[in-house]
Amino acid sequence: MSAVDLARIQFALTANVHFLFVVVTLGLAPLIAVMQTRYVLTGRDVHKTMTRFFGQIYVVNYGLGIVTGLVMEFQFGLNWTGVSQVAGQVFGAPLALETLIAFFAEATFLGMWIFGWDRLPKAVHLAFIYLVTLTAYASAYFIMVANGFLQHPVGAALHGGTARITDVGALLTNPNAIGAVAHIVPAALFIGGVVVAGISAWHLRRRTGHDDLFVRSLRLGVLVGVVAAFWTFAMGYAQFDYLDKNQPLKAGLLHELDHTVKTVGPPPPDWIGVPFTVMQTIGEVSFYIGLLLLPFLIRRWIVPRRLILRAMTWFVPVPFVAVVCGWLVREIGRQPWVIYGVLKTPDAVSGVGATQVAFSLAVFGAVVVGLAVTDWLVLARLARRGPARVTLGATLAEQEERDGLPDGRPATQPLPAAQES
Amino acid sequence: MPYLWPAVLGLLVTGWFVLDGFVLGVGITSPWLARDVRERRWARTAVGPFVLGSEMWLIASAGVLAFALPHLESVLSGCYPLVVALLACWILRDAALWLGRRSTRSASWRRWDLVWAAASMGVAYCAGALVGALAHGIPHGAPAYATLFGPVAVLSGLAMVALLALHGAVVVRLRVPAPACERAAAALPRLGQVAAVLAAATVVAGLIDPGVRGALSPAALVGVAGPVAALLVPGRNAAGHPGRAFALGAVAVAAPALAVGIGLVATVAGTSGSGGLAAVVLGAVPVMLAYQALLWWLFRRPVTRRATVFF
Repeated sequence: MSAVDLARIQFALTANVHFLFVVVTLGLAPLIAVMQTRYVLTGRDVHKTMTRFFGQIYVVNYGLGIVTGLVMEFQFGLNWTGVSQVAGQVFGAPLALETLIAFFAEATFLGMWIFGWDRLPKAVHLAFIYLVTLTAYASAYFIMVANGFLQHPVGAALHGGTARITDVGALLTNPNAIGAVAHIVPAALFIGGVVVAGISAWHLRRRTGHDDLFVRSLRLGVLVGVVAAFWTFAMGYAQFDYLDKNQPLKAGLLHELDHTVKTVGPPPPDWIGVPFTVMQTIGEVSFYIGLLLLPFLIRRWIVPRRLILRAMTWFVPVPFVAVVCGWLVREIGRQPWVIYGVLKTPDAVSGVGATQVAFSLAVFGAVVVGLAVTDWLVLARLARRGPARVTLGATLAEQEERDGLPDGRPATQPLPAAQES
Repeated sequence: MPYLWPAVLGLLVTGWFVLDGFVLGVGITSPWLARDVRERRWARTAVGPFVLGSEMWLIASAGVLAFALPHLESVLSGCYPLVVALLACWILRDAALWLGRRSTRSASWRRWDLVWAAASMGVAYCAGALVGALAHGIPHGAPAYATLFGPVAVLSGLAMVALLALHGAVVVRLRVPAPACERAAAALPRLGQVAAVLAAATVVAGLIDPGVRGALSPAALVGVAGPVAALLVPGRNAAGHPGRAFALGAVAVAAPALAVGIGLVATVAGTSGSGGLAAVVLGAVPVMLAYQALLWWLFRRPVTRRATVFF
């Protein structure tokens, strides 16, 4: 296999695994903000417990988002320096904005949110999760601006082989980027709703004893999921407005075009029609089935409906399939271009040999996939364990009591302070 | 102006060495300073709030590299094996923190604690080795194995493990309950000596290596501050000034990267960032520093039973 093929496989693998975690981050954060808002406004324990339970799922998922994101951040410089050489400043600008403005803030405030439970005034602690949510979506926007530039280079001009930004506004309002964000945001909320509803449904069916909490969270998950499902496919189709003009070869493989296409070069592989159909079907069918679920959200009508509850839990992986399909359509559909109409994929690869790339693919592939599977198993276990003993928000004293302290020291023994030594 | 973006990059990389450096250092020293799973949870809690906010500094460095210094991205592809190794260890370090206490079984905790220590050492070694490799100049093209695994890089890697261990031990002394903090205070003199010797050996190896002498300007000799600061750390702590010991430890871990950066600055300067966005990016820096300062202030107290846990 050539360096190009290996680099592409690595990118596809790491980007997809990264996004599987990121989409949950984007989807859960607003829901947790809603849960915590209800707690701050009402002071009721059910909302606090709900926030801590789903918050823990969110945080454990977030860790893998970071871990896979590390590979993404450095992968451009490792394998794809051809892109930097041609359009480094243009492509790098939204990436820099993302790391320095959005992600930096998100990471810092998330640290404050995780470790600030019961130590900060409630309103301040709530503000932090709102900041985390906002900056997470800002991150998504900047990343899609970067990807959008690759798909539809605007706002820049080539001078002697390197691109320079000529119109920042055009770069930041690229219809390819905006259209993609408008589709990804509801897709993430759809997944967030499905995850919350699926976990809640499991607990209600198994009668784990927290019905009040899980009926409320199931209601939130289904409502958000249904509305978001609609907007996901609506905004998905809306992208054809510009795709038909700017990437007609891709669009032509997905639906009927009303004009003939003059070729911009070789077309992308025609199998992208398959993932497109899968994604489209999942999106629309989810919405229609979701509509049928709505009456069951009234009072506790859902609780005895064990078959529906079981189906809701089993449904959780399905939107993730749609998400991967979406990325395949988007990224394979623009081949053979890395920068559409400007730089072809084989020319974008760094000068490193195939052995190096094979080494990095082996290392990152093993680590990323291994940790992803581990994380999903941990998440499943945490979801099943339920809201009774959640570590998020616990104090050291509470956690040590729960741990039983394997060394046999009594849990009530106070810790000597660090400064006294 | 031509030195603006290299300076920003230098600030971010130095910030990473100081801030993620102590998180790494606590991990490196955890098998010896925090002897059982209970004490290691205290150590995890002591660094917990800072993990995300600190590792961001290196991620932001990659962002600035891509935006303002794209021709320098050959630093990454030119040091390919070390960068891949660093990333892999970094991933495992984060996984050990995030997943290390999710199980209810202490056997799992012990395994993840081992990963935490080993991966932290791996990140420290690779970061140090990268600094040592870059002392031979910015690579262009395929990786040169003689540089990446040569004496300067190897010594630099080992020195960085020792320097970060020293820096981390000071933080254990400051934040982790007894007996861990007592062990840390007792270990500081030995750690200071080992770190100083290894750092000095690296400086000497660089001085006698023709490749390094040719690549770095004499200004790189500020790196001597590294071993000197490392030697002074235990004394400040013993004299009852652990805060100053922390500051000296920060100087010690920042010195290698700063030295190489300053030594190379003539070769990396002269680039231009794109005006308008450059102003936005630069304007973000003081804001970042402000909320980072808020983070440190919020979690300034050492770990007590009332501390919030997660890692």
